[in-house]
Amino acid sequence: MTNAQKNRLIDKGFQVFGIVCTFFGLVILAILIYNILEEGLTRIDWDFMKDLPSRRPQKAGIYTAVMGTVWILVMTTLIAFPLGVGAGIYLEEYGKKTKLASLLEINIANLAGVPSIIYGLLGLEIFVRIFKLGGSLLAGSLTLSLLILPIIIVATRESLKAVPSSIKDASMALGASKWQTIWNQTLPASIGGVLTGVILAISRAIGETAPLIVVGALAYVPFAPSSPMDEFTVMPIQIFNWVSRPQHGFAVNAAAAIIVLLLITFIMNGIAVYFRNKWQKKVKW
Amino acid sequence: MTTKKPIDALVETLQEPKKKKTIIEARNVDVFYGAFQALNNINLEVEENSVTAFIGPSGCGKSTFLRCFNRMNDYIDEFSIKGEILIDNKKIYWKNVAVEELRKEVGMVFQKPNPFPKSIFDNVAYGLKIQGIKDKTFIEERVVKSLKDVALWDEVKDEMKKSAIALSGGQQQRLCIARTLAVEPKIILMDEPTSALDPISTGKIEELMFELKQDYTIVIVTHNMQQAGRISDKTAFFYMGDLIEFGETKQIFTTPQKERTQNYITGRFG
Repeated sequence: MTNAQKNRLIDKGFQVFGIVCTFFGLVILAILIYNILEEGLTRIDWDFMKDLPSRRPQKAGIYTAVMGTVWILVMTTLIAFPLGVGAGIYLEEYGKKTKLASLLEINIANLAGVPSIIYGLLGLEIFVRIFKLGGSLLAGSLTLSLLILPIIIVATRESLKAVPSSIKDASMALGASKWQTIWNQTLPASIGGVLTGVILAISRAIGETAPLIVVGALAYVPFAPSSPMDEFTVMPIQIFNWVSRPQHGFAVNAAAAIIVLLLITFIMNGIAVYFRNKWQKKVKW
Repeated sequence: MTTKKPIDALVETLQEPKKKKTIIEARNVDVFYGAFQALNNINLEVEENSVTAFIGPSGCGKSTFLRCFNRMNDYIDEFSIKGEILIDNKKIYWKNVAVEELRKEVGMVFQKPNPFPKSIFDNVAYGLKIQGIKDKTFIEERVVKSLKDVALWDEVKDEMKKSAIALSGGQQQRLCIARTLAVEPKIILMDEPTSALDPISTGKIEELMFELKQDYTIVIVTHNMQQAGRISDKTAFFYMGDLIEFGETKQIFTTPQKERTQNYITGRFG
C-alpha cells in the first residue's frame, strides 16, 4: 500500500469514527425520548397538569411541582441575573489585573465544577440554619443561585471580552465615563451572549434535584406555593418520587412529567439559541 | 511690479504679526510602562489652530505621547507619567482633573474607523447624549452641522437611521471625525487616521484637516511622510522615545538639523 493510500484510509477511518461519536449521544437520547413518549404521552392531559399529588396514580397531577418549578425559576433568575452579570462586569471592566483578581478568576472557574450536592449542603447550613429560612422557596432559590452564579459570571465575561476595545476607546474618547461606556456600548453589543449564558444556566438550575433535596424540598406538598417562604417541591423531585414507587401507574406519571420537564428545558434552550443567532447576525465588526 | 491696494496691505498686517497662542505644552515628560521607559524627557509646544505632525518609526513613542494629551493611557496597567502636560494652561495630570471633562476639550480619531454599531445619527449624537443633553432640536442641529463640516452630509442625509457599519471605510472615518466635532473640542488628536483608507478617502480627510484647523488645533500621528509634508505646519520627529527634532515642517523636510531626521525622511531607515 502506498503512503497516499494509507493516508486516505486513515482519513476515511477517522470520518467513520467521528460519525459514531456524533450519533452516540443522539441515538441514546432518541431511544430515551421514544420510550418516554410511548409510555407517558397518553397520560398528559389538562387534569394531569392541574391536579394535586395523590396516593392514587390516576388522580395524581403535577400542579404543585410545576408551580414550584416556576417559582424557583423566577426567583433564581431574579437573584442570579443581577448578581452574576454585576460580578462579570466588575471582573472584566473594573477589576485591575492584580494577583487577587487572578486568584478570584481561578476560583470562580473552579466553582463552576463543584458538585451540586456540595452547594446543597452549603445552602442547608447558611440559608436554612443560619438565616433560618427553613425548607422554603427562598432558601432553595438562593442555593440554586449560588450554583449557577459561576456559569453566568463566566458567560458574561466572555461576551464582554468579545466587544472590540476600539468601541470602548471611541466612547471614552468622547468623554463618556466607564459606566456610560458599559451601559451604552459594551452591554448592548454583548447582551446576546450574556442572555444566552443566563438562560442556559437557568435551564440547568430547573433540572437540579440534589441540592434542593438537601435544602429540604419535599416530595409531597399538598398545595401550590403562594409566597417565597412556603414549602415546595419541584418537577425533578416529583419525578424521582414517582419513579421510586412500585405501582406501574406512577411510572406512567413519571414518564408524563419527564415530557413536561423536557419541554420546558427545550423551550428555554430554544430561546437562548434564538437570541444568540439574532444578536450575532446583528453585530458585525 | 504692481502696487498693493490699501485693503490688501491691511489684511496682511492683520494676518502676519498675530503670534499664535500655545494650547498644548509638555514639560519634561517621561512615560513608563512598568520598568520600560517609553518617552524620555519630552518638551514640546503646540500652537492653536495649527496642524502638528508626529513622525517616526513604529515603537518610537509618538502614539503614546499623543494619547497622553487626552489621558487615554490611563487604562493601561503599569502606565506612569512624570513631568507636566498643560492644555490651556491647565495641568491635565493633576489629581483633581475630571478626565471626562478633559476629553470633551480634547477629541480623538483613531487609526481604524470605529463607528458604534448604531445609526449614523446616533453615532454623531452620542457625545452630546452622554453629557445629558436632552434638547432634540439642539442635538439635531449639531449633528447636521458636524456632518456638513466633514462633507458627509450630502452622502448620508437621506439615511440617517441606517447603521453606520454599512458605510464605506472612508465615510466611516469621516463619521468618526464628525462624532468628535459634535462635542466641540478645542483639540483633535488623530492617530494615523488614514492608514486604513484608500488614496481617495485619504485625500478627502487631508482636505478636511486643512478646513478644520481654522477652528481646531490638530495633532496627527502619521507614518506617511508625504502626508506630514502636505498637511502639517510643524513636525516633530521621534526616535526610541526621544524627541529628536521639532520645527516648521518645511524646515524639517528641507534642512533637517539632525542626521537621524535626515536619514528617516529620506527613507534610509525606519
